[in-house]
Amino acid sequence: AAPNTETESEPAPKGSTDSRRAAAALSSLDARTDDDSKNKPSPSAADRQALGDAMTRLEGLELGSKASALSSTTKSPEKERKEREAEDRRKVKVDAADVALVVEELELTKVKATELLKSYGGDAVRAITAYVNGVV
Amino acid sequence: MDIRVLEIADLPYVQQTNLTNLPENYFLKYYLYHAISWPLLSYVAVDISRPPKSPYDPPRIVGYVLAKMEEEPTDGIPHGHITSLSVMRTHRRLGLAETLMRSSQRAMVESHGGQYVSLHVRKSNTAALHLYKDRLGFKIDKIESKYYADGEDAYGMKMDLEFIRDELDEEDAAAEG
Amino acid sequence: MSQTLGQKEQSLFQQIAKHYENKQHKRGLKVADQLLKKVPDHGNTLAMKALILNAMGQKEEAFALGKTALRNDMKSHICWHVYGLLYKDERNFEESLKAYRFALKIKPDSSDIQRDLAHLQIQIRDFSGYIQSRRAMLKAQPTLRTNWTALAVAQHLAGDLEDAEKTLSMYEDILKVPPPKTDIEHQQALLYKNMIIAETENYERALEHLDIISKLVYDKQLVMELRADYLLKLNRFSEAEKIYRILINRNQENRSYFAGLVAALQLSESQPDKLTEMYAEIASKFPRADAPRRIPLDFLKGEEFRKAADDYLRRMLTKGVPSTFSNIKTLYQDNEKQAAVEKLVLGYAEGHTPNNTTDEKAAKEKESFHGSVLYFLAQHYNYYTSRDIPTALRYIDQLIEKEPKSVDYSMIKARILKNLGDTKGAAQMMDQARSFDERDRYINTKSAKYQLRNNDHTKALDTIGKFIKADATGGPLGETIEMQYVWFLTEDGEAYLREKKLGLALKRFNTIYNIFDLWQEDQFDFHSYALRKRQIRAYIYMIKWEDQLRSHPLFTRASIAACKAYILLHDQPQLAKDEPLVNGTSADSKAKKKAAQKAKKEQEKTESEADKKAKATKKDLDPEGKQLLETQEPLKDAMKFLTPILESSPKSLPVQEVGFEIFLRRKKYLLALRCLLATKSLAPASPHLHSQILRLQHALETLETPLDAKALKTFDTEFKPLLPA
Repeated sequence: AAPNTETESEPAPKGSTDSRRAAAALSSLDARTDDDSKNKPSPSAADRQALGDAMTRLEGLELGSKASALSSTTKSPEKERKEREAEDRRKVKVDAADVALVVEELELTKVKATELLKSYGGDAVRAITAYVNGVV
Repeated sequence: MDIRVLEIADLPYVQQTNLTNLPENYFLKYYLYHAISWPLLSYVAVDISRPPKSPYDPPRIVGYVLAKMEEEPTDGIPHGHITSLSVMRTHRRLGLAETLMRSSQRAMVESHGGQYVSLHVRKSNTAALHLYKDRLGFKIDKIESKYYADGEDAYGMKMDLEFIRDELDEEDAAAEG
Repeated sequence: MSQTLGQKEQSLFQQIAKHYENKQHKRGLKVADQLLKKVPDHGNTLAMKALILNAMGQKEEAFALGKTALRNDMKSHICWHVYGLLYKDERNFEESLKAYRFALKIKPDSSDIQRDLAHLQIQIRDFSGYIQSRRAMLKAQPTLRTNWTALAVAQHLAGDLEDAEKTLSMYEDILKVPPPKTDIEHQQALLYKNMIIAETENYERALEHLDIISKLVYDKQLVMELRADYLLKLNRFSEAEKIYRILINRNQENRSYFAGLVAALQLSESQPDKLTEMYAEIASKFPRADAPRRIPLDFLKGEEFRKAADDYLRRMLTKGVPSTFSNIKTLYQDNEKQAAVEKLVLGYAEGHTPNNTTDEKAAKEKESFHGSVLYFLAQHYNYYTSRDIPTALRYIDQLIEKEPKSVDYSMIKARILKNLGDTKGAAQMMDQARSFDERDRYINTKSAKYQLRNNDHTKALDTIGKFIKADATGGPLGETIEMQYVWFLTEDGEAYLREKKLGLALKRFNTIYNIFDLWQEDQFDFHSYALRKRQIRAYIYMIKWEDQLRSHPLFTRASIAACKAYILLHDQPQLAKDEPLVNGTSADSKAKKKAAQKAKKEQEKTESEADKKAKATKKDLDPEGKQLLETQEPLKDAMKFLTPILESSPKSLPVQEVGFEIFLRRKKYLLALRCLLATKSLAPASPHLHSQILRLQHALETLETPLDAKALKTFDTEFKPLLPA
């Protein structure tokens, strides 16, 4: 039989020189800082100005996404549609008894049960039927 | 066979191949560490010759090379290091080890400016020595005594990657011409 | 009522923190106790002590102490922070989140707490929470580029591609001076942005962007691959072709490159001649490449196929490539191709003339070729589409006679015996193969697997033990658990299930469950590490992989087996009490069990407190899974395994089938129906479907309490139509 010519490997991270380095590598993964850029120059005045502008724009966007769909001019139609649908869903009323039924029979959490019912306009039968069919 | 870059989703199966073939094994986290730190350096050989059984068929990893760049090179020269290389016994004589190694070496040079690549081999592992020395072009650089957990010495092997640099330059020239 | 410390005490406290950071736990404890002597109720010190104890593995004590710390100082952000860390370690992520939030409310400018909160949020995929945290971190330190990238990542993962791209662009606009070419962070951020653009499927933009950044990035091969992909999607075929040809020059075994080239040339399987030409050209340029020679066998037919197969087979068999059959067998899905290959290889076998030349080399080559041919045929007649076991055995025995110590030959014979159903003979033969090359782990692994298939646990452990260090904690079994040998644990558990040793079976499956939990935990450190290393694309792939972690086939197998064990436990509860009969009668085993229990009680009495403590931290107190067997609710316990596989592998027929069995017994009829409908759509001709329908019908007709009217409606519309007329 031909000798096994194809295999070789490195020592495991358990007890040899390389393994100690590997263990060190793994333990250094959770270092307490995200800042690795010690060698980078600190920002110039111009940079800091630009930074300030960017932060303002960032905050503007953040507020925009919290406000209703009407106020934002920078959103895509797709995004607007999604937000409108989410808003509609939020407004739907669901029956507590229906939620209890779904929680018991479909073993969903209260939150997920409510979500399911809301996405079917509060109609329990439609929701349950869809869920029972929705696997493949 | 399909030889391509290792993807993160491959990792549990690469680990399984390693456990099957070699006595030096690692936690999955160590594989993650390689795949995230140097995502383009490791390669796998996947056996794609099986008819699909289910929508969740795993990739059958019949060969792999797990590689990295040395984090703190003692000589200050950027170089690659082979953590683990293995081809299943059932898939010998296809040149998989060569293709895996060359692909990894190319990435070491191109993405990281690696000038050479190193690895360790058990002194007693004549088969592996033959693979690296005679088939892949490595040279013995030094002996590291008691390198392995059981006290065995290792050969530190090295291979210069200048030839890859030349190949890449040729490729550039051909593209422009 | 915060507890302030004097100067001396402050410096002691700082020491504790430092020791903890440096993982010098014993020293940290010492200083903590020292400080506590002076200020015994000091919440923060108690909290630090708790943290250290937790790191040392004394989780119960740590928790108790953490609670005390909080009680003493409810307004301390340190106490809440530590409390959160303790919960996180226990994997109680909800409570951990709450605690972190409390801590952050008290000290909103603590970057440590903010970071821990953020990492937990992304760990549990609380995207909106993560975005919030990342925004806060960015506001706190906007000069750190990583914080911008991290926010983009948060938005990307939440599905907000637009915002993610905007965030990255905003930072780029800040850079008045472009970073040096060596700035890896910049390179990777650019590639990441390209990834986001590509995800919006606007390939025109993605290509434009790629062209701009390609000169700035070292990862040339990646750029080429992306570029070629975008060009294809934009129907710019000749440009794509150029790139694929360069890529194939680099690596002739990458199938996606060939697929790309075929697409770029706008060829398809309906033009076999043109395809053949393309592959032939590449094959002649690369004499050692396999792919350009193998791929044509997939699309060629008839005489063209026969000719190409003849060339390919002769080439591989002459080289003596052991995987030749394995490489070819997928073609057998086509009966004609199977017949053609069979005819060819039988022809090679028959064409073998006994040696009558003086040319030693030629003679040797002929022998070697013949050996490869017989080896191929043995596998061919072992394969399920062309199975003929006696013929397979004939061929392999011929080979074994010539070379009795060949690992490969004995291995194939073992596989043939396996297909005969002779698990014992197969295990013996595989072990024989192993004995011919004791330095090779592959054959050792195979041998252990076959021993497990033969339900021989002891031998299997012994076998794999040959490659495990003698001083491994817990012996070979302990090693399989620590080093995550999921294959071994699955096979071991399935064997125990076959033997109805349910405690041990469940023990193994639980171990596998825990390993996957650990693999899910593993990603935790990478939430910060990947950013520090600037490898954003890899990080995104890691998140996506972790999201479908449990679609791993061994997790599915182990979970299905666990469910089956629980079903057995439910249907035949006596299996939990009686020892399964292997040798002797039930009475013998009952007596044995009584004696064992008595011995255990005596042992426990003589055990010292120290022993017990040692046991608690290291050793497994229930190695045979007896506690698992004592469950009063096996079906409920099964849900631990069923839920994840229903979620991760809904298209798996065995998963849906075992789901049906469990839900039916648990009287969750809607969920049972759900599994049934899934089974029907996956395999409408499944033999189990009929029995499932009848059993569900019976259950519904014999209900003690009637179903809710709304549920009944669903059964009316979805189940009634399935019933036999």
